[in-house]
Amino acid sequence: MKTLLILLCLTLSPVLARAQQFSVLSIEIGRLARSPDVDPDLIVEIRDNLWKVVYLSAGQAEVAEILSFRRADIQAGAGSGASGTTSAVLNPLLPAIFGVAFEDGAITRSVSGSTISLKVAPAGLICAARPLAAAAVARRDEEACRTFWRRVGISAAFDTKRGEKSPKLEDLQTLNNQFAGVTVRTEVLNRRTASGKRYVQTFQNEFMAWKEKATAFANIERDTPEIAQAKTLVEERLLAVMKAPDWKGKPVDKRTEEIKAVLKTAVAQVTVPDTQATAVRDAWLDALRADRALQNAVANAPVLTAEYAFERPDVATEPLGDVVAEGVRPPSLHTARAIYAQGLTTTSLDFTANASLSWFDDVRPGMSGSFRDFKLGVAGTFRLRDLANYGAPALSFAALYVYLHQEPLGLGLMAFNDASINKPGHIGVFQAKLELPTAKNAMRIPLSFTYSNRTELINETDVRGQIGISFNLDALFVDGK
Amino acid sequence: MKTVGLRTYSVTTAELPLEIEVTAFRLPVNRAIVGHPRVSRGGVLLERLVPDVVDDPANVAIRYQIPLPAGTPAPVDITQTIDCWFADNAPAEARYQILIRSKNGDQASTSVRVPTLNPGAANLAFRVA
Repeated sequence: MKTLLILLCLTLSPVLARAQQFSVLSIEIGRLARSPDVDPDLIVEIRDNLWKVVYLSAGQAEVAEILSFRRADIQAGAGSGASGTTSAVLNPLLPAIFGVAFEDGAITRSVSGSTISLKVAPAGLICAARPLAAAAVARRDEEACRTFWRRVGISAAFDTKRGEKSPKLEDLQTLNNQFAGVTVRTEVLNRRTASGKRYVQTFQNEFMAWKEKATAFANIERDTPEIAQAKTLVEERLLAVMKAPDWKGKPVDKRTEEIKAVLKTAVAQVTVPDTQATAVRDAWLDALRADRALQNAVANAPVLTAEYAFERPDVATEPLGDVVAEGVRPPSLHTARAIYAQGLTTTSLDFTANASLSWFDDVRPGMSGSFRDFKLGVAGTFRLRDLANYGAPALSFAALYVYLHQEPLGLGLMAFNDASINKPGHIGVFQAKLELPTAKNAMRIPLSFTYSNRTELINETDVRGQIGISFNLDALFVDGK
Repeated sequence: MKTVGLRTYSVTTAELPLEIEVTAFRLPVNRAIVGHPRVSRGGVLLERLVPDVVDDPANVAIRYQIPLPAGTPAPVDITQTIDCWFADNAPAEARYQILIRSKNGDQASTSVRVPTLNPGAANLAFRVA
């Protein structure tokens, strides 16, 4: 009896292991299960990828590594583009179409009140108006919006606590008084969106290395006679299952079970000689590693963004030093900023550097020239692995140096975290931040820990945490099909 | 050329060579890899053809031909695997469209969509009579 049980276990173990390996066809099975009608293309994609189930039976060291290349989910949303003020160092990308961020002192005390920032890429908005194009524009698909102006973004900030309301306008905001500033940003260089010939040229080394490995893999005969037989069985039975009159009325879970049952039966008796299995797995793994190297090269390619901001301060309600009297508007402010991002090609570590210079629009008596401040920031961001249906979390460490040459005159110098700097001098800030994605990256929740040498940045203590929310509404333009 | 099954086509020798075009949609570049067409009869491999793959200038489409096998008279089966590679962040609607044209102008097409695990394979079979 014992011997019989052992024999049974040995016989069934590859079958059970393969049942788990249907995860390598989870997207294909899901597509077929969601289809109420007979779609030959959905059946054939399972049939033609059945070899993956056969070659990934458990027990081999390389299987786990091959499985690690599975996609967690299809990225239906665009990547993170919007940035809130919880960041010490700015992200170089604007939303491809439209974004909105609301910043208020939920945990931190807001010095300048509540600000609504509207961020828009005008060319993206025009391109997205075309039927069927919105999703592609949101994904930054170069083909969908072929114009230089696609690289230009504008953001406007409105301080919702500014201005007086007439009793007649109780439920309306007086926008004219709330205009706080405008920012124009342009991507000078963005190799991460390279496509076509430019893609091949930019990533030539990695592309050729991947192509060599992928070609070697494609020329290995993967279908043994047994696999070919299993494929025929899968095709016939899946067609029969889908043509059954009750298919349309079944819930997706039930359909999924039926599809998996067909696959399980088809591969149950398939065995592959060890030498053949090893050759296929080794070549496959080589190709997958080369593919990952290529994708890392793309994700880590340089991006350079230039930004100009114009800010208009509110009328002073009390004198600002000896320069601005009560009831007078302080001088407007111009800021020029360069943002550069570049990753390490063999890792998931992305570096971002910001440098900015601010100057006043006019020099008034009592001011020491128009130069106001200089900021330099560097951040390292680790892109962590995708969470299914959520997106990829990011862990970042940032350092920021600020030199404030003179009083900011009404527009507090925002270093980060909505904390205003008013006293001239040198400021150093260190920040660690974990950004958690939700809803396929449409909303991200940053958690940050910050240290600064200047305690006036943080009202109660010089070490604190903050939580904020930013929305990237590009995801609304992307369908989930 | 007649479609006689899933990605399976019946052709006559007069319809060869077949012109095959693989086009990438919603992907930054075409990363389809064309395996050697295998000529067989009754399951016995007779010959491997080496396709001459041409990229279009924009690297969005590739083209090649499957010729009449030299020295192997019909009937034969020609099978071929095309491996289609997708980026991790490929959108759901990304795909490779495979268009097959016979010498007399008949056309057939099939598509490869985003797979769970790279590559998304397409097996084409041509029954040459």
